[in-house]
Amino acid sequence: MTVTCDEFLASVKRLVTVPASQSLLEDSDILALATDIQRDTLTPMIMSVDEEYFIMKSVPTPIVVGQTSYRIPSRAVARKLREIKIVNEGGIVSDFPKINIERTQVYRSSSVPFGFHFLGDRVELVPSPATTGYSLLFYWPGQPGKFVKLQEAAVVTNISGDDVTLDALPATYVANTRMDFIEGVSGNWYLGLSALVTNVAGNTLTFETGTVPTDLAVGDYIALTGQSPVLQIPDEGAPLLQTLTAYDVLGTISDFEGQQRLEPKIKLQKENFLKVISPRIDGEPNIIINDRGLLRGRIRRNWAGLYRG
Amino acid sequence: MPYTFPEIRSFAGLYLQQNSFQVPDGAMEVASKVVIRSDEVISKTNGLFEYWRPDGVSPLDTLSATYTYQGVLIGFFEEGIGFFTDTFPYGGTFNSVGVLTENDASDYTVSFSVSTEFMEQNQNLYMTANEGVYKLESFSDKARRAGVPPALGLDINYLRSFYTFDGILPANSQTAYRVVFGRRDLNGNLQLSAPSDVLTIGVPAKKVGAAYTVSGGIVTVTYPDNYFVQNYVYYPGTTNYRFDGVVSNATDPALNGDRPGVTAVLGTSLSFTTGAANGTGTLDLEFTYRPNLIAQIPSEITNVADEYFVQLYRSSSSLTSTTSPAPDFALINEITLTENDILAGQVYLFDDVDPQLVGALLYTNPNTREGPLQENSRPPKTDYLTLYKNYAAFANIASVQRATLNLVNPVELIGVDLIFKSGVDEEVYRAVDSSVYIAGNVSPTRANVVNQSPLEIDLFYTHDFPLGSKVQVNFQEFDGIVPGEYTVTAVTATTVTLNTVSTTFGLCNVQVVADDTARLYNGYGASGVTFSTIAEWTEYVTKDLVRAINGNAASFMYANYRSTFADFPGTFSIESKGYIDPIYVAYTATPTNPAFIQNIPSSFSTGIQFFSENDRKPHWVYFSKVSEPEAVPIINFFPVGSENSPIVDIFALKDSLIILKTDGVYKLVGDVIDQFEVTAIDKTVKFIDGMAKPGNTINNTVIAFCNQGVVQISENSVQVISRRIEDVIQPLIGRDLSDTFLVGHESDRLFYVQTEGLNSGDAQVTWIYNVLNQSWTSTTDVFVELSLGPDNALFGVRLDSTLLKNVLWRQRKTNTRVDWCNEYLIGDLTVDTSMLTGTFTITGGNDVEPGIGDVILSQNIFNRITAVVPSGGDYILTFAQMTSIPTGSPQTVTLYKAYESKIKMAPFHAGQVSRSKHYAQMQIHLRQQVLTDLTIEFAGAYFGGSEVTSWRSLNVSTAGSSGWGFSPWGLFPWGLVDGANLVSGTEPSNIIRLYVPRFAARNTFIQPILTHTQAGQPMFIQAMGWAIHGYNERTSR
Repeated sequence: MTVTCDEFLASVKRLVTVPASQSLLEDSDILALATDIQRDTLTPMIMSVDEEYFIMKSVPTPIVVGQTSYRIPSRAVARKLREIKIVNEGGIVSDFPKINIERTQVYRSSSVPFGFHFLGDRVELVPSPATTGYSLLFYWPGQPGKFVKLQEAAVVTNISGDDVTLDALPATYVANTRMDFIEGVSGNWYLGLSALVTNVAGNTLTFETGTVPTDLAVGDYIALTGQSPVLQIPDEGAPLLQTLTAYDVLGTISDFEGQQRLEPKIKLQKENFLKVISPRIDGEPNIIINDRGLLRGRIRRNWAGLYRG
Repeated sequence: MPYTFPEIRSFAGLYLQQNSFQVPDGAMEVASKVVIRSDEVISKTNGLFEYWRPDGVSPLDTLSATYTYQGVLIGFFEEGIGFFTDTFPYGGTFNSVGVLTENDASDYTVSFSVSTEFMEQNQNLYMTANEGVYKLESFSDKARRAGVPPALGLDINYLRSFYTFDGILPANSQTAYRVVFGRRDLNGNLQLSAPSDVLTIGVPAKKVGAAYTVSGGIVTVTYPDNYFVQNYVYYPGTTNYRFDGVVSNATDPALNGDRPGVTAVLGTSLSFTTGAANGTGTLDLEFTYRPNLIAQIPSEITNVADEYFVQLYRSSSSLTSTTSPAPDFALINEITLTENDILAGQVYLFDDVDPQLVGALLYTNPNTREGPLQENSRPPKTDYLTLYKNYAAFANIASVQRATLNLVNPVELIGVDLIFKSGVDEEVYRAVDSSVYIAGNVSPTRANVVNQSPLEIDLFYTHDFPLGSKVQVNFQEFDGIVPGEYTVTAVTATTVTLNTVSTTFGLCNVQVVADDTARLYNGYGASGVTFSTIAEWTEYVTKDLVRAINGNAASFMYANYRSTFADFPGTFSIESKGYIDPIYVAYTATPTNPAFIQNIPSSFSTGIQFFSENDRKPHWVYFSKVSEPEAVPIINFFPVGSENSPIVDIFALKDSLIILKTDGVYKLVGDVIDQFEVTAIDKTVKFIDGMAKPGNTINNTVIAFCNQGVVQISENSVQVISRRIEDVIQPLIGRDLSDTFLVGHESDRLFYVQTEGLNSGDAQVTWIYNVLNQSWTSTTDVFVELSLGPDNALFGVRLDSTLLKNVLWRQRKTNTRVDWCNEYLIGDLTVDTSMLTGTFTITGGNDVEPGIGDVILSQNIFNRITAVVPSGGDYILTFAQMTSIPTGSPQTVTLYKAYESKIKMAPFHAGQVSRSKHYAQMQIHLRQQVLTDLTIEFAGAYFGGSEVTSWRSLNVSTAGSSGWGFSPWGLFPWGLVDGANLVSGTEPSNIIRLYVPRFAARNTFIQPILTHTQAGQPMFIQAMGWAIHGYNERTSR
């Protein structure tokens, strides 16, 4: 079940009986509040269970000779990464350890980067790459999109190569804008990010070649990059988000009594939501594997580890 | 800290002067097109629509004012009077169109301003025209000048003598006559004029011992003492003068006895036939008179259909011919004027009424009746009139022009014309010198038709008519000539030949007035008759001049001969017919000696001028006789305060006449005029001269505009009522307030004060005062005049900015919710199958276009319009909800326009100005479901406005735009519809609830600004509630 932002708005208004006509909190205002709550509460809460919600894998980033600094994906939650791998020309994926800055001088002799450390908002390779043929593979927690009403997004009605036809065309959908592709079914996660629109003809958008996800289906959504007309969290989190948003709505009108009355409900909803989202799979509990145990070979944290995987 | 929930349940209208943090919670700072009609409830003002506009064809083009008389709306124009009747050209119920009917072409000489005042009495309507006080006797009748024009001169046509006991006037007596003109108006009211001059006829005493000579059967008696009154002893139908007398004591007794058919020679001798022998002797002779009189008809009486009559009054006869009669005039004859009388300008009156059979006493008789000072003068020209205790009151008056002249030397007028000049109008009167009988060419005189075709008339005097001049000929007692205006084609000394014919020869009486196209030459006798004394000559000439003036229908004045028996002859007065510039008098040449006592110059440009004067008394109030509003004795005036300070209006309350002056407010009290008394109520309240209408009455008080703002005046006190809005009233003092007027609408409890905007150049504004709950509101609907019309609706004269002419608007007063609509359109509406849109083609109605908020009324249900898109010449309308108007085919419908009402409340601080607060929510509660859309914004301590919230009842409806059923319901609370019917009491209604926008929410005070633009909705706001959270922090940096 998909929870659209419009349904979400209706639920919030119903929860605190927002006046049908008022200009203090436009729908966009309430969605902005919800987006903030998504970021400051729901996303951390969901991520806290370490069940790989929101985790995305980027397209491998080629390592360039002499370039040590590489960007973290711009849509990564908290500017953090779940994991970095290095891939060779043969597609072999190897671990790519984080090396403390204090120890970078130890890794000066290799032409292939041995590991990385963060430098500000960048991933810094150690040592500096001196050979080609390698790529970085980022695993990162993606940010759910900012909530927008359905009228600001569109539903896919047809897909033909690079052409995607929509049910309606919002005024902001013009050539040279970038779009996200969002699943139209529960989960509502991204199918593709920041695809460039090269042409708009009627309700049909033409995207840059190869950027339309192969698994895009009729009924999925297209939104301006960074936006979403649906909640991109488990459906069971929607009530919590609604209550938290209602809580903030009451705050905007100084209805502290109303907020107090919501607080027990929020507590309960948080507890229940955490119970629901974790463990993510009941039949496969996490097993701790000691990669550096005696039976699994030597630790990788030396120069030879690169070749042993 | 939890919310507090203060609320306002009492709306008090505008408070613009007081400390705005101290005013009641329900106070407002803007209240446009709203009114506190029901106590403490905000309602919209009634809507208006255009009722009539000039068609450019009718002479009635410039509408100044309206008044409802006999249930009909009368229009008063700069060009005259017409009345309006409702028509419903489109078959609608609510939308009438005024059809103007012109009353009478004669009305085009009467003009009215926006300041016209009205008074009803005796079933007539009286009004202040620019030309004086006029009246209507019926809504469809012509306008008439109030009162009857004064009777003028009265003369003897002839005196027929009779035997001793057959004449009415006995021998050796004096008898006086007066005439009064009058008419019974269409409502049966008897109107009598001021009486005429007094005509006294003396009958000689028995002549004792007159010498006679008998020769050949003819007895000749001579009277060197001018025994007979010369000139008047003419008997028509003869060429001589005849007496029927009684001879006695003759030397030859055969001469004694009744002697009919005595032939007289003017004044000096008489003769009769006898069978007596020749001889001489003396005899006694006496006779009585039956007079035939001529009364001059005022030239303002022009229409026989008006059924004017003349009443002849006669005094009792004195006991001797040297004793004046007593002024005990009694009615002896009443004659309705005929067309010929009116054409001739005079009427003949024959007295053969026995002294025992006299009728009512003349109303001006002293002692027995009202006295000579109670003459029925016409109302003066006035700016203000009202009815107080059945007395018509006229204030700030101007009388007609009056002057008195004394002719002392008539011979000096021979060859010297008299010119009377008022403004640019001149009248010239020329003395006609003749050696034969002269009667003045405007006096009826004997004439003889000497040629029939072309008509040649012998006038028997030397006339002065040039060839080609226009001659108005009115004939008396002669049927051979059609009266009319003819051209003089030939002249002799005493005859004129005119371009007309006569069917017969013979003697006739004629009246001739000539016009040489440059000036009127109105001849009058100057000499030609041998008078025994200069006094006789003077009287003769003066009376002839008076007749000449009065016989000149085009003259701007009347004249009256004023000398009586006790006076020197030659005194006459002139009085303007209307309210004109002073009448100057001059000779055309300098006479050898002065002809008048007064210094008459021979030029209007040099020398000391002689001119008339009129009473211009801005501080006088005149009163009519009780229940006789058109009879205003000249002494019935009351000076009020200083003459330096004019009266600016008067108003009658139950027991007081309130008099507004520039030096204070006065009242006149008393039930009868003898008890009238003027006292000052307040001399610190000074009213402003020149306002269109500085005040009006309501609730037995006067509300007026003065130097202290708007005041309410009771019979005993003055109270400033504009204190609450003084900030927008007092700055107007000293400004041009000539367009300011005040009107009361008694049944609505509302009083309208239309005046200038706060700043010079601002649009005018109308302040509305509820006299029962003392609330002020306002409207931007402004007019040049406003009055109450039929159906208790206000009618407003408004300047159309496109037409640049005044049009007439009508307040909606149908007692349905249509009353809260403005203009209307008629058109064909084709509703599409969605039942939510339709194509509207205008076919009639006012000059407007459809707009959002307008409604189409169908089956008594309002179909609200939420969108309008022009499409060619048509309009695509979108409705707020599915319409029940049939789809597919065009339906003739009526569209009603919405108008904007706006409210800005006074600062609401919940009791603590200095405490910052969070105004979280506001609710508005209605009396009934009579409000579907409201635009709300807020002002506060930091911003003059805020985000706008558009509240719509459809947003809170669970039925969407469709509702249920053929007449959709579910859009309103259960059982209610958006219909035209009025309901009473409290009904379920949507609560208008909203969050206060962020720019306004955190404030020390807040001012909601409500704007309503939906047709057919009275609003009925009864409560305004808040959810407020108080802060503790500072209120500002």
